[in-house]
Amino acid sequence: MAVKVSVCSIFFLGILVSGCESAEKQLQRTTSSLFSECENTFTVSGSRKIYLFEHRPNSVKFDQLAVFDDWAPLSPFLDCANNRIIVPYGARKDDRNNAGVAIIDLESGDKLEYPAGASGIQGIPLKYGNGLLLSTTLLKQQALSNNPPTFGYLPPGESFEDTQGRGYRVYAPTRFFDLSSAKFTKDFDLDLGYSVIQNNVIYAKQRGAITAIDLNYKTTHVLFESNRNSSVKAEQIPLNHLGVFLDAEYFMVLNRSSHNVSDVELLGLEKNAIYKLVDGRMQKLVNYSQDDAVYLLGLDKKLYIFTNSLKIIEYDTETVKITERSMASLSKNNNLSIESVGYTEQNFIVALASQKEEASSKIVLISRDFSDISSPTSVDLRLISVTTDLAIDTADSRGIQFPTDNNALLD
Amino acid sequence: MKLFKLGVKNVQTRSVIASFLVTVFIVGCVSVQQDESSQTFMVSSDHNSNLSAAVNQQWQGGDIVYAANGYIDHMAMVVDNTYSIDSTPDIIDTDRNGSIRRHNDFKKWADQGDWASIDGYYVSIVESATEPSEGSTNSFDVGDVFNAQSEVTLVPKLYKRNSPSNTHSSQLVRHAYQYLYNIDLDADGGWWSWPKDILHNPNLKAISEASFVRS
Repeated sequence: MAVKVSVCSIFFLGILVSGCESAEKQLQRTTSSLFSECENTFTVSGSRKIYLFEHRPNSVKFDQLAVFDDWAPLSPFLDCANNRIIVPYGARKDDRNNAGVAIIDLESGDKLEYPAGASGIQGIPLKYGNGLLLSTTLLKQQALSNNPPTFGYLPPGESFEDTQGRGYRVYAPTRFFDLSSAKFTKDFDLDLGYSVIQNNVIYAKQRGAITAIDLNYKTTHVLFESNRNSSVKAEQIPLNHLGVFLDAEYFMVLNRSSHNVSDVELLGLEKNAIYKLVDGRMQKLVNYSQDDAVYLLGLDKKLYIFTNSLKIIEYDTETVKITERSMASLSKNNNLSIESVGYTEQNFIVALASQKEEASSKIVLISRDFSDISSPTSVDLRLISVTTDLAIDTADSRGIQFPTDNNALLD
Repeated sequence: MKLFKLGVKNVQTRSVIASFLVTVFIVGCVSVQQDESSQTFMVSSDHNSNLSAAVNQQWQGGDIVYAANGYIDHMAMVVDNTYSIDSTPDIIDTDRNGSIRRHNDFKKWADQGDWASIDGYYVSIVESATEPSEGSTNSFDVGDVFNAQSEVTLVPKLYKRNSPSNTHSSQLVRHAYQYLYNIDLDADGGWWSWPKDILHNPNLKAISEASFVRS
């Protein structure tokens, strides 16, 4: 009997060891060969994990390449040239001073972390030159009397007065992380919010203003500013919406969260309309039939509005044609809601959260010509966001990465 | 009547509790210093699941957020910032050094903290009678918080150096209410105030989880 038990133990131990070995081989295989076409890859992240996927050429079918555990990733992205994943991360658990940038080497699987110190990190990373511009959480208080803003403009939402009537500024600086030296090399007195870079100009949705910040000349052109003297909240509401910069122009639609106070009217802004920022005012372009927008993308002269009812409204800014489509295969499952949308040259990548606690989040690919849609694939994530080579997207915000400007200079 | 968006508590299933108890039995890692409320939070495993829906509800600046995970708790305030850059309210709290932070994304703030529970409160006597002090507007913004910290804390550096790190977040809330409304939220008085000291103030009213409507 003892011999039988012993044999059984060895047998099961053998299975266990062999299982572990094959799992290890699997990991090695996935991390060494990895992707085929960089432009077809995308990362999906959220609470605690980072998934790396690649879709097949001219197809909505996609394969999972690797999964990494990580606590609080913020729009991690694949650095194809260096075979690594760059992972800005926020505070972790009860250590609120812990945030930084991690770099995962896909060859070895090793992860190195570069803490940001007390500054914290949040928001959407912005690729700039060979590095990242990162928003922070630690607020700085700065007297205005002898500290004019470096870039020549102070948004209304950063300006305050102390009890003696002296003006001061409160803002969270933007930090630059240099990927070549793996160091935080510079802080800027800019609180960028959602922003994109094009031709060395940062187009930013700041606190109380939409601005174009020229990095070369250190000047700021104000495209829109909330009324800083108004006590009427509604006049400041247009900043609380879905907005996107498209070819240096700003477009917006209202979403369900556009009101902070339910009985405040929107000063003529309609829920089901697309607006464009023209001469400091939101100008209505067109109405559409849905009023439950949850996501807005802008690319290739077109706007794409994704709705809570799983519809996609396409608006061509050149032909002004509007087309409404329904994600029929997903609409049957009314427990899904759109959290984030990214895109490659060929597909939209739609991240969906489930309203049911026990159900997992889903990833769906839709071809950019809307001819095909993939089956939903489950991922073990909450607060899900998508990052591709073309777009850095997180829930509630959209960041478009324009082609890297090699002549970018930040000093 | 005002609407609000907070009040998140987890669904604790029997299986989770059973798993937890088994784990505790095996590992034997029960903290003897946890108070009753901490133990309640301890068994939660799938936190913030309703947060997404919750943060889309109405909210009001100055409301107090209490977060806990069984071995540590934390306090923050909602900032009534009409200049917000996204669709969720800003959260103001402090880091471990007592410096003020602002978090743009409520959901990520809650998630990163891995809090087992997050509850929202408002101060009833502020609602009924007290007007904001001179110099402040009808909103509750980050300037109010900075002014409060500089005005109420007469010797900020001395205070920071001598304060336990887990009192900074609640001290900030206490100072803000002292400065803006002349209310001492600390339930038992004294120099320091821990999050639970403020939580036990009888004027703190929980925001209804079920309806997000204030009574």
